Amino acid sequence: MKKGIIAFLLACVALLLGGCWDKLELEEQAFVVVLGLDKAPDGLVSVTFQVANPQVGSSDKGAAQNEPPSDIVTFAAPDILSAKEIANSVITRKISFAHLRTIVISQAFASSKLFNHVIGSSIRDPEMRRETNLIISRERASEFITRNKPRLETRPHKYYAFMQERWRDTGYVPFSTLNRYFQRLGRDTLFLSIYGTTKRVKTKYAREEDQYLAGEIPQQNGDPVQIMGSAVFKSGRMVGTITGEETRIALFLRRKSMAHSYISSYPDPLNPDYQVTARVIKDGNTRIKMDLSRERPDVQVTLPLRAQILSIPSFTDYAEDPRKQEKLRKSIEDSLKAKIDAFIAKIQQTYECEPFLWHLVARKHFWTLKAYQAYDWGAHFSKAKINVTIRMRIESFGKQIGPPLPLEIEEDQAG
Amino acid sequence: MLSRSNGKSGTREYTALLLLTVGLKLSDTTPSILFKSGKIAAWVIPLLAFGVMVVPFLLLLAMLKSRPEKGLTDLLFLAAGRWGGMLIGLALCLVTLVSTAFGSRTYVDIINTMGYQRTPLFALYLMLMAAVFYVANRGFETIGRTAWIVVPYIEVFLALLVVFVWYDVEWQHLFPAAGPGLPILLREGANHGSIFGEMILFTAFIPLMRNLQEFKIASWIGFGACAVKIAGMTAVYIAVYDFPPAENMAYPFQQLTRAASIGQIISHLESVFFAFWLITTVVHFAVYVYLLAFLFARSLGLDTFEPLILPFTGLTMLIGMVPENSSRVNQVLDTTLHVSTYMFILLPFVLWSMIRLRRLVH
Repeated sequence: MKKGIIAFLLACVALLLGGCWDKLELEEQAFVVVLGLDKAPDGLVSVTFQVANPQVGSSDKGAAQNEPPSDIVTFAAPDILSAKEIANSVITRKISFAHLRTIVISQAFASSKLFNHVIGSSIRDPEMRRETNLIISRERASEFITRNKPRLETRPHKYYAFMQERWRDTGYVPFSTLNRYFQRLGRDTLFLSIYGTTKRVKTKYAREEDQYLAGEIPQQNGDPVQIMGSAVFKSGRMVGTITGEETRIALFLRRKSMAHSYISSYPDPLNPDYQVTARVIKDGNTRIKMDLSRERPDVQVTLPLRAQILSIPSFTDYAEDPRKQEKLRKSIEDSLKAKIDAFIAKIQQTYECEPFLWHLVARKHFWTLKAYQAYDWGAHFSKAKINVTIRMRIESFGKQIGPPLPLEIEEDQAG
Repeated sequence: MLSRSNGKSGTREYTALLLLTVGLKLSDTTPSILFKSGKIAAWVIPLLAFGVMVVPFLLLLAMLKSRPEKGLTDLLFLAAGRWGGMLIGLALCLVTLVSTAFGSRTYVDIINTMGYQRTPLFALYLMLMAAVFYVANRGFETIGRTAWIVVPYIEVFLALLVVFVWYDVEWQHLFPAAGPGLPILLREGANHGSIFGEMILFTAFIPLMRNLQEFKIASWIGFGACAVKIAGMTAVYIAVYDFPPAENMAYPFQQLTRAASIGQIISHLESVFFAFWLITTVVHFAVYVYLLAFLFARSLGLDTFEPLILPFTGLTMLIGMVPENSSRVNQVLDTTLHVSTYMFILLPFVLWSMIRLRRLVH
């Protein structure tokens, strides 16, 4: 018993010491909310930290009236962790990644071979989380972070948290986390990452509002950051970009999709001068059937959709006429299918791989890993015959039955 | 419900104890070891291993059926005589000691890597083992009761963990279903039988149980549930991380607790899981240290074994501190798993044939 008491007392002493080794004072920590990665000379990475100032935007603001909401610093180092260490020669508080949710990577760096090494080795740090979001920026990441001054969000982490939810709702960009990046490093699939910029390239006015890439959206005033489309990664290296519309299609073609409804406009079949705006919702999982026995694999994709018509600028009375509805349905289906087919063909030719996660379906056709690896799904996909069938039903026409026309015009039409 | 304690444990306590001690293997490096050999189909191995161990376990139970109040150690003496029994008993002790020592080192490594990076390993180890000693010293019945108290929380939190990561689960990641191929899978399943080596070792505890029937019921429920739990969680790891990344992760359970989130806002849940996991860890090793002292004393024919708990706690820690880093520990653990598997599978058969032989001679 005596021994027990001694051991217990010893343990108590050890407990006290344990508190000192890894103690962290909240006051002394600097929480990095955004991390930027750029290419630096001599094979180094230039790492940008945006450190949040927790006093701004809180009830404690009075004590820090002249402090900005965040501080941005950039260092060149061999990897992220050594940059974190160097950063502490400038920043007074201990740098912590505990609240790091977003990593911005410049397009140039993402396309380099070094990128996979830097990001892959950083995950060893216990503070790096696999749930961190990735954003690829057209310009340098440091520039992206510095220029991103959201007007409605004072605190930077709020901006990214809210925007991520909006992006997921609209489906213009994919949901891209480090975990997904590591999952899709293989040669059999493509990884899609959020694409954004703070610069304006050429503003193009597209009739359909989602055929843009970040930087191309016509915008006046407002925040400088545009997030649209995705960066395409193959084997851990960025190889191209796809537009917002193509991203939506890619996400729709996946078996399960995170973004469930897209609002988009389609040509009006009865009045080609106008567009019809509809909310298209995925009605259950996409069904993918494959026949891999032939040299050119046969892929049958069925996409179940339901549509809610939101606006009919041509004032055609679709809501009341079932035959016109049928025409409208057919027309939306056809226009969607044409876009999907064109996109799949483009992907097959350009990347010899697919971002639709169909490789997971292909994996089911094999019994062992070896057999699957030997099959080389990427190469077979580029030759595959793909047939997409859209099953759409029009669900509703909104809260208006007919167009809001004055009485005399209605008489005119009747006569 | 309130009955006077007679120092013996029942079905309830023993089942809870098994659920914690054996079930905890889903959270250490066992899944990582399974990924190395079973690849994408690693989750099948625990089920196969359980199936493999059922046969020797049944044989052992059959031998113990006609000998009430007797456990594994008594059987050893009965079959191999005084010296032979002692030798086998000490060999079992050695295997348990090595796996407990390196096992506890793994847990300290996890605490070090995932929680307290700057705290010296030795300090963490000392604290863990002090807590372990504190629990183990209270005796088998208390360990069982402690297990019974904490087991509902642990199981509920494990279920919650799966719920919280459900968003990231993609079952299609489990294909191609046979992974490295059926023959390899079967072989690895048999090789890793000692994941459930406790099925054989814990029969030493029978004298501490109220009766054999309760022991049997608890064993089937406890080990069966653990096989399903370990297999299920290994499958969840692959479903969340997909195959090659899962293989490269050192501590998939701890990383999974970091992925858990309730909606967008509540996202840093790992400390809650960490606390419950630590409690389970202490119970887990308390059982092993207790078993060590018990086995050792019985093998040498000593009457009391409680004074041995402290030296064995220290010894475990001393041996555990030897390897330089966790990858060395993993190598040793994998080898011990293999070697002890053969030992555990063969032991009941050897004992059975020895008893037979003795009868023939006499």
